[in-house]
Amino acid sequence: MIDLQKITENLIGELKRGTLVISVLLNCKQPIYGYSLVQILNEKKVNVDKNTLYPLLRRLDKQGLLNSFWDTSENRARKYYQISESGNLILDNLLFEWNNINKSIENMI
Amino acid sequence: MELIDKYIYEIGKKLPVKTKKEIINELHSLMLDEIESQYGSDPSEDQLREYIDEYGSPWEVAARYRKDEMIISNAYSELYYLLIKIVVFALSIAFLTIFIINVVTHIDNPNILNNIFKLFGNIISASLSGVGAVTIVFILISRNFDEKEIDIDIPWNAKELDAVHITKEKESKGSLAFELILSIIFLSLLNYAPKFIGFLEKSFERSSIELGHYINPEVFSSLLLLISIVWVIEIISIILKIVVENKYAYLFEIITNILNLGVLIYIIQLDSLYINYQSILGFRAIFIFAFIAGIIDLITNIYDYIKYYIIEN
Repeated sequence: MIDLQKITENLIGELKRGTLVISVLLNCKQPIYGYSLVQILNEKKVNVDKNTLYPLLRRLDKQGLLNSFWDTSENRARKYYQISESGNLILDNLLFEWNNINKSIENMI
Repeated sequence: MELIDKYIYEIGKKLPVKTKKEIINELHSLMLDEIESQYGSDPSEDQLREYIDEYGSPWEVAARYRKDEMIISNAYSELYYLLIKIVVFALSIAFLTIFIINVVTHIDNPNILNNIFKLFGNIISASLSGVGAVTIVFILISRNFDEKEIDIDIPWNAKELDAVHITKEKESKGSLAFELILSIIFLSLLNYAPKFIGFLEKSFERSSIELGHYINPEVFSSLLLLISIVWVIEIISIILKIVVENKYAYLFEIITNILNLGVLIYIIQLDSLYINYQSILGFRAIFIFAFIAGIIDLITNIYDYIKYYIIEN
C-alpha cells in the first residue's frame, strides 16, 4: 500500500532542499555566523535542520559562493559567512529562475 | 562540557584527515552557541545528553560533512573501512605464518633479517594490491547505486559516550605510514648496503663539510644486528600505533624510546667506532643530536601518556 504521508513528506523535503540555497544566500548579505543564520531562517519560517545547514554553508564556501572568516575577538571564536561576488551573480540567476517557475506554476493552478 | 568534547571527538574520528580540524572547530563553536541559547551558560548533564541525542549519531553528523569529499559513498564507507582492515589483517597473518614456517624449517641457516625484510615487503605490496582492488570495487558501487536507497539512521544514544576516552592524536595515520615506509627503507639500506654510512660521509665531504672523524666500517658492521633489532622494534611500535592506537601501543612506544636511547648512548661512547678522530663533527654529532631529539620525544611521550591515559581517564 502506498504511504501517501511519507511520499508527501519526502517531496516537501526535496522542495525545501531545492530552495534552501536561495534562502541562505539571501540572508548572508552581511557577515553572519552559523547559529545566528539558523535563528534568522527560523524567524522567517524557513525551518531548517542544522545538520543540513552547517554542511551546506561549508559547501557554498568551498564553491566560492560564500566567503568565510573566523572572528576571535570575542570569548568564543565564531566562523562568519558572507555572500561573495560570484555568489551574488548566482543568486540573481537563481531568483530569476525562481520567479519563472513561480509564474509557471501559478498559471497552471 | 566533557560530554560535548567526547561527542565531537567521536565525530572527528569519522571525518577525513584533511578537513577534520576545521570541521571540529566549526562544530565546537556552533554547538556551544546552540547549547548556551537553549539551556543557558551552565547546562546540566541531562540537558547535554538531550541536545546530543537530538543532534544525531556521530556517524550521521560526520556523514553529512563527508558527503562532498568522498569518492566512496557515505552509505558504504563503514563497510569499506571494515573490509580494508580485514584484508590487511588477513594478509599480515598469512605472511607472518609463512615467515615463521620459513624460520623453523631453515633453522640451520635462518637468515632472519632477510626474511624480516621479505615479510614487510610482502605485507606492504599485497596490502596495496588488496586495498586497491577493494577501493576500485567500492568506487564502482558508489557510482552506480543511488545513495538514497541506503538508510543512514543508525540507532544511537548519547549514553554511549560514557565509554569514550579521548586519546591523544599526536600523529595522523598518514604521517605514521610515511614514518613506517622511511624506517623500512632505511633499515633495508643499512643491512643490504653496509657501506651506506661511508657513502653518506663522502656525500658530506662533497658538499664541502669537513668531517672530524669517520665511522670504522668493521665496528659498525658488528653493531648492525643490534641497530637492526631496535629498528625492527621501532617499526613494530609504529604499526601498533597505526592499527591498535590504545594505551598499550603508546606504552610500547615509550619502551622503544628508552631502548633507542640506550643504543644511542652505547654508540656515542664507543670510541672504537670512530677513526681518524679530530673533532666531534661527523656521525658522532649526528648520534648526539638524535639522542637529544630522543630525550625530547621520550619526555613528550611520557607526559602525554600520563595526561591522556592516567590523569584524564
